[in-house]
Parts: sequence; structure tokens; C-alpha cells
Amino acid sequence: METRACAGPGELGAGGAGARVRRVSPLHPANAGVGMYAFLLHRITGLALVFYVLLHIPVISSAMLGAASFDGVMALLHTKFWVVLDVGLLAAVIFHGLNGLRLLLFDLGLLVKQQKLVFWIIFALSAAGVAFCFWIVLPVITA
Amino acid sequence: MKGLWPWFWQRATAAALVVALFLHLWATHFSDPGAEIAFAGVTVRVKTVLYMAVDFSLLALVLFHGLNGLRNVLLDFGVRRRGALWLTVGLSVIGLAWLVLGVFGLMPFIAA
Repeated sequence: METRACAGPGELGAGGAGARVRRVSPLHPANAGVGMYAFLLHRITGLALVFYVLLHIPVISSAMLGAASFDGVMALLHTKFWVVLDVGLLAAVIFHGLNGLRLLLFDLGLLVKQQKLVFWIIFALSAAGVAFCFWIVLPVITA
Repeated sequence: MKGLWPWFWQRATAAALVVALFLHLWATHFSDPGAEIAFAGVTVRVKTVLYMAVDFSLLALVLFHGLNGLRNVLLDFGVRRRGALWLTVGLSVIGLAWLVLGVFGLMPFIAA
């Protein structure tokens, strides 16, 4: 990750030639804002989703080997371990989708100054969506 | 993101994906939660014109959006010039191969 010269908190005081400047990652909590975390989460969930899709297509294409093969794969994926992973997948989809809509708003020039508020709104909606998905799969997880 | 058109199509596919993916997930997992997914049931769904359209559109949309997104990330990590060209060629080949696999993968449901 790129680093940049950055005066940490309390280091700007007297200023002048004596001012100390630290090199700190933009990911350091003193520098990173909500926007940086939104960007990071968007990228991480995006990479995870590409990986998933490149697996999802061959898995569904197991139907080419016959209905029995497809049903066997689906039965395996309907077990506790894979269903818990599915909730993680849905969390990534929901966050990536909602944050994508947030980016779309900004590209259209809308609500740019309220970007932090918009982030917390989509974050809350994501959490609610994941909670709903968790509730849906609860019978499989507790079975 | 490098270039106007990759940016434009990334946004256009994003908007379409929100709609198509919602329909796909609703039909597969939420319209009848708890139902086990099996060939016989999927066949009934995929044979309807709406979900055939949704699933084939999704295949193309998600492959472009995902692989173009991966390209953006790798370009941000400093892939340039000939590397960027080969990256574009390589990801396009992967996208087309997976598109063909996905189309053939859906055929048994439609033919059944």
C-alpha cells in the first residue's frame, strides 16, 4: 500500500523547519476515514465475488454430467458448513451492491457531500439484510 | 479506472446486475425458503422466459463486471503497457470461456 508524508495528530503545533513529519499509511486509523474503509470493503468483497462467480458457473454446469450429478452437488451445498458460507456470500453481495449504488450516486454528482452519512445508511441496510438472510437459513444451521 | 468506456460499462452493468441478481436470488433462495434445490425444480424455473432471460443476462453481465473489476484492481497495483494489454487479453479469454461453459451448463435445464 502506498504511503505518504503525513503529519500525525499534535505534530503541527509549532510548525516551521522543526516540525516532525511521519510517513504513515493512508490506512492508519489517524488518516483513514469512512470513505477509505468503504473503498477497501468494496474491493475485498469484489475480489471475493469474482472468485465465487468463477466457481459458481462450473458448479451449476455440473448439470451437463446429468441430473444426478447436479442433485448430488446441490445436496452437498445444502449442508450446514456451506449454508453458513452462503450467508457470508450474501453479506458480500448485499454490501457490494448497495455500496455500488452509493458510488453510482456520486458519479451522478448526487449527495457527494453527504458521503459519510450515505455510507452509514447502506452499512445499516446491509446489516439488516444479512440479519434477514441469517434468519432465513436458521432452520438449516440449527438442524 | 482507466478509460471512459470501461468506466461507463462497469457502471451500466452494475445497475443492471442489481436488478437481475435480485430476481435471481429471489427465485433461487427466497421465494420458497427451505426448499432443496434439485434438477427437476430448477428445470421448471429456467424454462420460463423471464428467468431464462435473467440467467443468461446475468452470465454475461457478471462475467464482464467481475473480470473488468479485477482488471481495475490489478491496474491499480501497477500493471502497465504490455502487461496491461496481456491482462486485458487474458481476462477476455477467461470471460469468453466461462460464458461458453455457463451457456452449455444451462442447456440441460432447458432441454430437459
